[in-house]
Amino acid sequence: MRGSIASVKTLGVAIVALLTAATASLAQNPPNRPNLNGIWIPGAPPPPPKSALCGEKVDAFANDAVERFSAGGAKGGEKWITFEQDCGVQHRGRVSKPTYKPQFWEEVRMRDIYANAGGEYEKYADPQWLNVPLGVPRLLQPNQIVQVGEQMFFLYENQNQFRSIPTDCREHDPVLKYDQTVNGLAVGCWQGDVLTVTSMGFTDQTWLDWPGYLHSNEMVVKEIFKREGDILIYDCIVEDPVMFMEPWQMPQIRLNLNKTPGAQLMQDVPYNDRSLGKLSDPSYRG
Amino acid sequence: MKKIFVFGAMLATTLAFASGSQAHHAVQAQFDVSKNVIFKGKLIKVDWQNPHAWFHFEVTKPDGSVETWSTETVGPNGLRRLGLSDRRLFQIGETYTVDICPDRSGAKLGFTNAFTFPDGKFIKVGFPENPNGEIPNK
Repeated sequence: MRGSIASVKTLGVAIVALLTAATASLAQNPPNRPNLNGIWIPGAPPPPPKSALCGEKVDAFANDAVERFSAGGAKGGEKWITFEQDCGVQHRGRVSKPTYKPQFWEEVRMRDIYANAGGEYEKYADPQWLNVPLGVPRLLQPNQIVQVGEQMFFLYENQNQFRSIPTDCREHDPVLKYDQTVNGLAVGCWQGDVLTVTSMGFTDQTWLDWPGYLHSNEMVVKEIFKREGDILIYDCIVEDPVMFMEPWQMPQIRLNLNKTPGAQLMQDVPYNDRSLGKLSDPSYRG
Repeated sequence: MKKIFVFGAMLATTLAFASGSQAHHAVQAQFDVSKNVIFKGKLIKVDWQNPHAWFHFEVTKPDGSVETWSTETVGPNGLRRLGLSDRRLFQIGETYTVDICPDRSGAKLGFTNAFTFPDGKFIKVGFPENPNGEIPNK
């Protein structure tokens, strides 16, 4: 009896030792590597302008968000007009947009015009209306990052998605890199304090953004993460040798670390669109 | 004056984030934003779903007939940020006053501007007609 208890104790100690060693090897971050763990929320301020030159762009949208709603004497629900039209114009008017080879612009325009039409135009529908996940890079930045040694887990509130990303600079799997998923096959690599995640192996069923920005399944997405204090800077560069004239650098997103005690990522709920093909004016996108 | 929960800044933030890259159409693509309709109805169903949650009400007209009105809101994540994801807030069978922009087709649908709860709490989720939160008599 005593012997069997001793054996159990020995076994227990061995298991604990093994688990401890395994956990330590998993959890050990290489020294001097930035810690990206946490919930990150949009809205971090942009860096101060380098100089106040004539013609410098001003984010009037953010500065006058409330007053804009009442422009022209708009009252009540009329304020939606001001808000949405300006959002649409501002979004389409961005300097940063993909530059397509000439033969693809017609398709982009058709998708932009008929994204919400449905019916006979459903082939141009925004894939999100058809319950296709947004996919990388339209999914934008992760909402929560879990960093364990040479492994990253990106968690997204949108449709409860996740990405498991080795960060050991390995080559992409020679077969899986031709897979066809909405988020692709991702591999990360640290260079100093900057993490670059390169993804390939995409389906061509997703869009890059709502104005009909399509892409091929040869797309390669590079997401670049840099932490400065409690701000995480997210840059994303999209390369598409089939459709693009040049790589597209998406607008930078700056994130604040959520320091709220007990902050927790919430689950998303199912998607059930009722709009496609049922709108009075589907071209009114805003 | 009814108690007001002012969520203007939160609303603007929510909408700004929501309109980033997601598929969307303007509210006025379906709803007439130049009109406000205010009705009092019994909540019969809530569809807590993306991209927009829907609330369904039974509205009894002065002649005693009953109509079903359905009203859309911002998405569940937006409602969560407004503090409205607590399921205890919306009780089936309770009577709510709802300020909406009506559907342009004349269907009994709307886009929600504000809810007034059975206890008198007034919560705006869009742009109610009166910026002070009082429901005008119509």
